[in-house]
Amino acid sequence: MIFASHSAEARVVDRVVAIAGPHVVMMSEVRREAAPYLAQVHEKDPLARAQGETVVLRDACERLIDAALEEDEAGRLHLEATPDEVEAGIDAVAKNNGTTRDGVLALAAEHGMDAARYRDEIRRQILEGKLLQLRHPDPNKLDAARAALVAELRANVYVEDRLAP
Amino acid sequence: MKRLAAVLLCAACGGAAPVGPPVSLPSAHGSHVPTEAERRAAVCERDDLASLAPTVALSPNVAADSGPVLDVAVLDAAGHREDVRAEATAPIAIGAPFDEAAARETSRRLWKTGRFADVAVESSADRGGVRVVFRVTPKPSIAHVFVAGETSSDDVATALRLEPGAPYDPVAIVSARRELRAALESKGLLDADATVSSAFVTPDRSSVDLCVRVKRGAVVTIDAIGAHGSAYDRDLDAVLASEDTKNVPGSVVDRDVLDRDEVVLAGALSDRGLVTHKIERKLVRHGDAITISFDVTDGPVFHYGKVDVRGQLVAPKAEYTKLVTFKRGAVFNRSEVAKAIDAIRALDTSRGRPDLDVEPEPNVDAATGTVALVIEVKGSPGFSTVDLKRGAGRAAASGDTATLHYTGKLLDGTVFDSSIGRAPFTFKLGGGSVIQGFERGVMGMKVGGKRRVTIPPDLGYGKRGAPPKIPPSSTLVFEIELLSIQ
Repeated sequence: MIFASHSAEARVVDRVVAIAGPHVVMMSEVRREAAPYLAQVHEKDPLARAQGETVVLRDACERLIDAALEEDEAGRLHLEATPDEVEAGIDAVAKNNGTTRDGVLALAAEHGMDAARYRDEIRRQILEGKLLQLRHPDPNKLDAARAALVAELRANVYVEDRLAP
Repeated sequence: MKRLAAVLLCAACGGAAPVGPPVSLPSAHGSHVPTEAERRAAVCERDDLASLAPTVALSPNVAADSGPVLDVAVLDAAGHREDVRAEATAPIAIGAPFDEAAARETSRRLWKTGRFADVAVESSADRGGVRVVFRVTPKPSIAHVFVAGETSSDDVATALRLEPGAPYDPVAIVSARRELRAALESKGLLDADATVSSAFVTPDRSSVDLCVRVKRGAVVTIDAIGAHGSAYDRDLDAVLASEDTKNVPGSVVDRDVLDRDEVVLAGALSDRGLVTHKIERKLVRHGDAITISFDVTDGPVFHYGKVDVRGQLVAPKAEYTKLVTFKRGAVFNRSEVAKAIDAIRALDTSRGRPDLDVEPEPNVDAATGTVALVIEVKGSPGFSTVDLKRGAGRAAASGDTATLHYTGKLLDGTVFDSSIGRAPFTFKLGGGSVIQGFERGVMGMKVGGKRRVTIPPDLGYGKRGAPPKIPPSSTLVFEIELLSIQ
């Protein structure tokens, strides 16, 4: 055996933190997802800061669980977000915010999202929008519809969030 | 009781592991060995599945040690090597710097083996490099399956694929439970429900007891099914009666057939010009009976606007338009359109072009109440023909011997072959003696006709081409004059 069972120097650098049906979410993914929001936790008190970061990490984990389930459901329904739709989505964000596409990407970069990550986020939102349109088409109750969609998807598979309190 | 169990679990963990969800641990009570009845009660009191692994602490944002990866191992908590296939750890390259994405991929591969309840990645610095350990926790095994509720057999446990000795896999259990619910619903047990709970048997969490509870409820049957709200309710009911022999009063609901019913009703409405109709399906329960109603909003009656056939026509246009039996101004009828499309396909086939697609392209104009319709005849991608001069007589078909002159060019205009100035070329159509695209291009021509045929590589000389004159993957353009057919 090369390795001792518990090396004194060994440290955990990643691990499974959630199960979403057939998928697992890793801690490194949660950290990556949470990075833009962690940067917004400004409490000076170490305890308050830690608590704030914990909330951000847990929220990020929940988002990744939901995203995995939505991705599966979209696949099952043969829904997709094409590259053209993603680019149009970025243009729409730019227009709504009175800026340019480069301006949007620069703003995203300031918040720790590179262009690829931002496109992935837009793609995720487009897929979610298509699912909502199919399942809960009332545009006036978007938050309720989103909650209902996620609840439906979670009811059909095993979900375990190991970061949950 | 559950609170006490949680405290006991924490004690069993020696304070090292975080406290997991409350679980019943009868065996932790001193030397008392729990009876089967006690174990059954303990697990059947619960209402959820035990977590695969303890709740984990939020890891600090730590980076792996730097330097090249010296070794990779998959070990259990005791440090014993797990027997996993080499592909599992293949993403981690020995000698390369530690890569977080590769470690994630390896973790996922280990997870997908279905053997582990937890995977953690550890790194440790050692002699200028880094050693990587994937610390895995094997899944518990199923100790006993208890069945409770409105069933006395083990059928339900079998349906859920729960076998003592098998790995405890909540992901698979939840998936199987969903299938079981659907199966029960298809038998008319619309109130049926199956729940599964589990509890660890031993403090080391190596085995679990499971409890399956099934609530069956009464069989719910259809008391009535029909369409409402349309001017054609009677017709629609007749359509339903002839198309759906499953969803009838007294039977249980077949949702797949209901989906088909909706399509059939939509077709019947479209045959009456009601192309913007709406159908809302309603299932209303009254005790053990259910009424199925298709609530229809007809909308306005649409008429045909301009009707045209175009695209890659292989016969004179008049022959196509003769097959379109409906005229501008008549009430739109979906079935008529479908018949015309079938007739056009048959015409194309009779002219040796069964490969052509025929697609209706309707344009609904609500303002004028019309449906303009273009029936588009489409060739296979890349292949096309253009008649430069139409011939006379019958069309060339498979089995004919065709005599013709041709000139073959590349897309840049380079002539690679021509029969002009030589004896005309003769071959048997359908004999496979020439490239596929050439044969297809001659099909349907009439004597005296001239045609330009564009042939993609896969219907020509393919990726290899025909050196030296025809380069690899060449699209070819032939101009053909048909001299005779026999």
